[in-house]
Amino acid sequence: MIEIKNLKKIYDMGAIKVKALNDISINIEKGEFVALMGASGSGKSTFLHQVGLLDSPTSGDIIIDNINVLDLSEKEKTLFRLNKLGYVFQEYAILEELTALENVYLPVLMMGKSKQECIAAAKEVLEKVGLGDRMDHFQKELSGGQQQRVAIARALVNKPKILFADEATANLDTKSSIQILELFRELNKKYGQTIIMVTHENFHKKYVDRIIYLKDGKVIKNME
Amino acid sequence: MNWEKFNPLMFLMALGAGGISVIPFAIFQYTTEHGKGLVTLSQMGTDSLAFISEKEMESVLGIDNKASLILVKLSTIGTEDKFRKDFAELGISEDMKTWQEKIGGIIGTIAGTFNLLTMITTLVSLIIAAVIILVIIYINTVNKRKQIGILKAIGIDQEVIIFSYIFQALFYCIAGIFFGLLLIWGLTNIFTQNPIPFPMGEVSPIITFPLLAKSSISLLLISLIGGFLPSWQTARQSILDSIWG
Ligand SMILES: Nc1ncnc2c1ncn2[C@@H]1O[C@H](COP(=O)(O)OP(=O)(O)OP(=O)(O)O)[C@@H](O)[C@H]1O
Ligand SMILES: [Mg+2]
Repeated sequence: MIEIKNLKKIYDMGAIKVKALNDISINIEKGEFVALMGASGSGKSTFLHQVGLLDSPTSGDIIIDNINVLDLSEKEKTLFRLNKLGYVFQEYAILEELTALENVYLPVLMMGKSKQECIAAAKEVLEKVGLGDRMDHFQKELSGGQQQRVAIARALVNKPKILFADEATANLDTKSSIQILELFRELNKKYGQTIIMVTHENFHKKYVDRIIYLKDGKVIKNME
Repeated sequence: MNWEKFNPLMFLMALGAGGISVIPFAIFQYTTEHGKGLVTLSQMGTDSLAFISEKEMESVLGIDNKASLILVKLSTIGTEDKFRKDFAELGISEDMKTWQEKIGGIIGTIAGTFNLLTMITTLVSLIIAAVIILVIIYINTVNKRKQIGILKAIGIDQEVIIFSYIFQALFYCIAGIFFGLLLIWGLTNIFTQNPIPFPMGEVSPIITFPLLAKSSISLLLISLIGGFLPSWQTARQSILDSIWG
C-alpha cells in the first residue's frame, strides 16, 4: 500500500549538508503495525514527516494507494491528509476551547458532513478509544493519557488508511503508555488499521508486526 | 440720543422689564414700547436685539404678510443640502443659504474647527482600534502557533484557520461598535440636555447616520485586515516550523 523508493531528505545547512534520509526504499503493506526505531538523530521523525506529507523530500518517490503523493499540490496534500492520513504527535495538541467530542468531530466537519453525521462519527470513535464517558470534558478536565486518546480518536475519525504516531506515548507514564499501545494493537487487529509508529521504548516491540531500524538516515534492519 | 450708537440690549437692561422705550424703525419712524422682558439665549447675535410682535411691526411698516427673510428649521440637522435642492425643485429661485453660509465668519471657522477635530479624533480612534485588534489577534496566533500547525497537519485548510481568526476580530469589532453606539447615545443625550455654553450660543453634539455608518464600516474593514494579517502570517508557515519551530 505504501511504496517508498530512493527517498532522500538533505538539509542544506550552508557549510554542511545533513543527510537526514539517505536513500531509503521500503514497502509497507495494508494492515501492518510497524515500529520505527533507532538512535536519536537517525531520521525517524524525518521519515514520518515525508511519508505523512508534512514535508517535502529532496528526492525519491512516495506512492500511497497507487497515488504518487509528491505530485500533489499543497491543497491536494491537505485534502489527502484529511481523508487518508491520521496523526498522533508527542504533544496531544487538542483544542482547549473545545470538548473532547468537538475536537474529534472537527475533521469530519471539514469533510463537509452534516453536524449529526459528525457527532455520530465522533461518538463512535471516542467509544472505541474508551472515552465514551468523557465526551463533554474539556482538555483541562482530562488526564494526559485521556488527552492523547482524544488525539488518537481525532486521528482516526475520518477512517484514515494510515495512522502515524511520533513518540505518541513519550509524555505519558508507563501505565498510560501501555493503554495507548494496547489501543493501537486492538485497532490494528480488530479493524485492520495500518499504523506506523516511532518509538524509543524497547517494550513496545512486542506490540508490533515489524520493526524498521534506522541509522544515519539508512535502514539497517527490517525485521518481522 | 445718538441712534447710531444705539444698543437695544444695553438700553433694555438699563430700562428693565415694564419700562418705556423708544425703538427706532427705519430711521424716521418711532414707536413707543413697553419693555416686556429681557431675552437671554447666551447667543451674541440674538441677545443684543430688541424684539417686537409681528402685529406691531406690520402696523408700523404698513405691510401685510410680507417678509424679507424666511428661516426654515429642519427637524434633522445635516440635511440642509437636500432641502435646498427640494426647494429649488419646487420653483423657489430666491437666494438660499444654509446656516453655516448665513452665519459665516467666525462661527463658520469654529464649525470648521469642530469638524476637523471630529475627523482627527475619528482617525486616531480608528488607528488605535486597528492596532489593538492587530495585537490581540497576533498574540492569539503566536500563542496558538503549535496548534495551528497541528490543525494544518490533520488536514484543516489554511483558509479555514485564517477565517476563524477573522471571525474573532469581527466579534471584537461588533462588540466595539455596539458599545461605541451606546456611549455616543449616552453622551449625546447628556450634552443635549446640558449643552456647553459658547459665546456664540450653546453647543451640543449631533450624530448623523452617515457619520455613524462611515465609522462603523471603517472599523469593520480595519478589523478584517487586523484579523487577516497576523493569522495569515502564522498560518502560511510550514507545518513543521509551526509545530517544532
Ligand atoms: N529542520 C532541520 N534542519 C536541519 N537539520 C535537521 C532538521 N530536522 C532534522 N534535522 C537533522 O536530521 C537528522 C534526523 O533528525 P530526526 O528528527 O529525524 O531524528 P529522530 O530520529 O526523530 O531523532 P529523535 O529520536 O531524537 O526524535 C538529525 O541529524 C537532525 O539534526
Ligand atoms: Mg524524532
